[in-house]
Amino acid sequence: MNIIVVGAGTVGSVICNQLATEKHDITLVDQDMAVLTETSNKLDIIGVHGNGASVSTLRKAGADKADLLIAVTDQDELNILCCASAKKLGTKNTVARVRNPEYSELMQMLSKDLNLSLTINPELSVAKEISRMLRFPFASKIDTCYHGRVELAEFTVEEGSVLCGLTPAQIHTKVGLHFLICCVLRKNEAYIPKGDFVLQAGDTVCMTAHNDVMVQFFKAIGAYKHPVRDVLIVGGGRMTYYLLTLLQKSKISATVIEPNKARCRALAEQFDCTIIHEDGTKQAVLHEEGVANTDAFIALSDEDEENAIVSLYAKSQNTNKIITLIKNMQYVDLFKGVGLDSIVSPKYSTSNEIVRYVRSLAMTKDIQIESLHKLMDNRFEALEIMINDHVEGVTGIPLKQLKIRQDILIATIVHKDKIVTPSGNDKMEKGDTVILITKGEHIDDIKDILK
Amino acid sequence: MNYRMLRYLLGCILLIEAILLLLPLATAMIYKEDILPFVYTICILLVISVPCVLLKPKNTHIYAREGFICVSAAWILLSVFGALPFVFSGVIPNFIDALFETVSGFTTTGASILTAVEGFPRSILFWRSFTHWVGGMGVLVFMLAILPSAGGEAIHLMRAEVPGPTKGKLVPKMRQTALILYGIYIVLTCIEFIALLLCGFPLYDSIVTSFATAGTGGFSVLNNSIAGYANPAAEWVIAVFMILFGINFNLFFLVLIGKAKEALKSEELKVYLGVIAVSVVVVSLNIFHLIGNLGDSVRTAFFQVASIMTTTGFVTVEFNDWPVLSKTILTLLMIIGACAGSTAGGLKISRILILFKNIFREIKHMIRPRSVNVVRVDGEVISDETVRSATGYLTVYMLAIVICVVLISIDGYSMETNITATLSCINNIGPALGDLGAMGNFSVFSPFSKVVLTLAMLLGRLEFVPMIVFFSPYAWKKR
Repeated sequence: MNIIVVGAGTVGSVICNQLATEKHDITLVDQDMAVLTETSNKLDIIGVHGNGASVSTLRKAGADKADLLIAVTDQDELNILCCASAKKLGTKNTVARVRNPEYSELMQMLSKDLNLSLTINPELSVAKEISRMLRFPFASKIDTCYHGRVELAEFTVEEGSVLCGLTPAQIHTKVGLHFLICCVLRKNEAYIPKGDFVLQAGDTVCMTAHNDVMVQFFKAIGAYKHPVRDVLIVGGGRMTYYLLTLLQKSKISATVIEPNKARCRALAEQFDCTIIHEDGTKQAVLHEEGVANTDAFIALSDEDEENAIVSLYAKSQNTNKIITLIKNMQYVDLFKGVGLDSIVSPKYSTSNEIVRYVRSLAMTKDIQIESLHKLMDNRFEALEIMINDHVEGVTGIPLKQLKIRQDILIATIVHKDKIVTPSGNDKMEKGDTVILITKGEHIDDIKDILK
Repeated sequence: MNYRMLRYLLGCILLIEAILLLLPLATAMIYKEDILPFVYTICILLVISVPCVLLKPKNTHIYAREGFICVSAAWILLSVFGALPFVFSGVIPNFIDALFETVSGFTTTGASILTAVEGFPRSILFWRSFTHWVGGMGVLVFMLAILPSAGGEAIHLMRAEVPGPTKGKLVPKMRQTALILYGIYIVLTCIEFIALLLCGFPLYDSIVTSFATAGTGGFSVLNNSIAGYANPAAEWVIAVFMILFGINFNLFFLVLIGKAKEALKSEELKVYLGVIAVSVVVVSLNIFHLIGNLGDSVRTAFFQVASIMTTTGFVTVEFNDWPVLSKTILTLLMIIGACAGSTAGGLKISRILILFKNIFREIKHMIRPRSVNVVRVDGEVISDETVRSATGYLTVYMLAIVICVVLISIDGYSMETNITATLSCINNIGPALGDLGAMGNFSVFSPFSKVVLTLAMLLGRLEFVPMIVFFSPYAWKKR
């Protein structure tokens, strides 16, 4: 596909990187020549210098023939304008990043009129992800598929857990619930566990289950934690704004520590929660606001380093649940190594959303992508697809007779609204929703899962 | 200071008063009474006002300072000239007494120095009640409604006259806002007039009682106030209308433009009705043994609570003989008052709401010194400035009460008398307790106390600031 990306900022380059590896033709537009040169030196893309909303620049970038334009400059208004003009020039689909909360209602109203195929709001996505984590504090990361009824949970096997030394089959007999262990991360090496795989302490496990079963499972293995009722948030930026909106809906009380007076005032005017005007990196302040007793501690300040430090401090105070915002993902493994397992990043949630959209554009009509989740720090993908049509050689055949590739796992089949953890005798049918776990292979067609 | 514009505006006000005086004049003609007191007064007003109005200044800019001074000067002049018919007719020969009565009328207080009003000329009593209606919504607002050339700066006049911390304009145009307010006011008055006629009130009594209710004033044409009619149906009607006139007029406007739901959500309205409901229950239980009949005690309690809370001051019973609990509740209601943006006086519910919420905010702030909190009313954030001005208002209010109580205590009446008389005047209510009794007769006070109480009424009606500005030398400085 021909894709134009406007804006070579952090998100722009991550998107270019992802899409270029998926073999699309990318044109990057930016006003900063230096950044443009640097990015096009690293990736196999072409750069066009200029303002992305100007017609001449867009023509130069080939907007009349492009399949998709993605506008991710740091200005919401510019992004919207880019998409509107590209659409006029003949670009088939447009995606705009719009982050300002004040525009969220506007986007719902105007998406059609402005010819936007998709608007993405990374801060809102992160806030949603955090609020999911708060609902299931026992998992380090949780994703939902099939309208929230199937859950994908990641968790770390603690020292002395009942799971240590057991194979997946042994866990099944011990717990007696319907679930599936999809993949395991051990010492930076990811596996799709076979029957003889034995879990050890320190493994990160990803499993899928029906949402009711998930809670029962964690209760059964003794790792259950109550849903969060109050949180302590350090940093009062846009993400906090979105998060507080969600928390207010689920009646979770929040305390926010923010050093900027104007931001404090704005939050206090908008939300019914405790806002503290103070530097959140001060230990005394964290203690006064009860870092050790809070149900969850969330570090959302603008600085990665600050977030990492205060999270580590909260960890040392045995805080129940710690969520850390890290924008720069280079050191994620380092942070995970010291025990910060719930890490969120807006950059990746944006690019995931865009990659999902791009893939859905590229897919054959037999299948339709519903959602895409990255697991185990991008080592695996969970792909939720709907089978629209009868496909010869795949549908209607028991799974044990299909020659499915070694690195693909069929985690869940939803057949006529019934969620099935598949065994060899189950089969995929027309109209089913299937959740696949892959190592990031290109799947444009359902037949791609076969050898 | 733009003296020329000030003179012009005051001229307009006096001209309006001359025109308003035509109504009692017509009444005098209808009832074949002496028309001379009104003719003389109108002549004096015309001689003074016409030259002022004809000389229209070139520079028509006014600012906050002019606004405050204009409003206080207007109210003082209105009262001084409004008192003349009482003097000329010989009903109240003493000018200080006449001034007290007129100020009591314009400020919608309803405190009287007359011991018996029955038998006085109907035209004079009409003027006495009509001052309530004029003063209720404000004369300057009326002027803005009819004056075609009110520019953007006229907001200073309106802000100085309309009581309470309200949002200000209803619609973008000042004149339109004033017209809407007066429109609502007139329509409600007419409805009450018709309702009273249906209850069997005579025509004249319906008109003057409606005027006194609309302005939340309280002057009646009978010696025994509303008790003199012995008409329970009318008591219910008057009580309900008193409560209606105590509601913020912005809410009526919301209802008019089809946003009734929004109006019902108003926190101020809920508190207002809640306070009335609780007070009625407590008082009716408390006075049950005196009246001996549940229906009557509820009606009496309802009427009296509504009358005091909305600062009207109609009376159906001598509540001076009530148990202390009921009397205390009534005294507290005097202080609370009704909603902002209505014709009522008192501290105003919205201000009390802000003050109370501010207390909670301060407590929160003491527990967590670094926390940032805001005060919200109706879900909207109240600016720190508004909160500050509300606390400032409370301070000035308390101070004015203290000074006034001290000054009138020279006359030697009981503490209860002095305190309730002061509260009654500052909050523009009318009746008081103690030696004065519920019929609120202030004739017992010395001339000095009457002047003090007259000033207290003006201070309370204009919510202190305009009058304080008027009397402070700082405001009269050239720069």
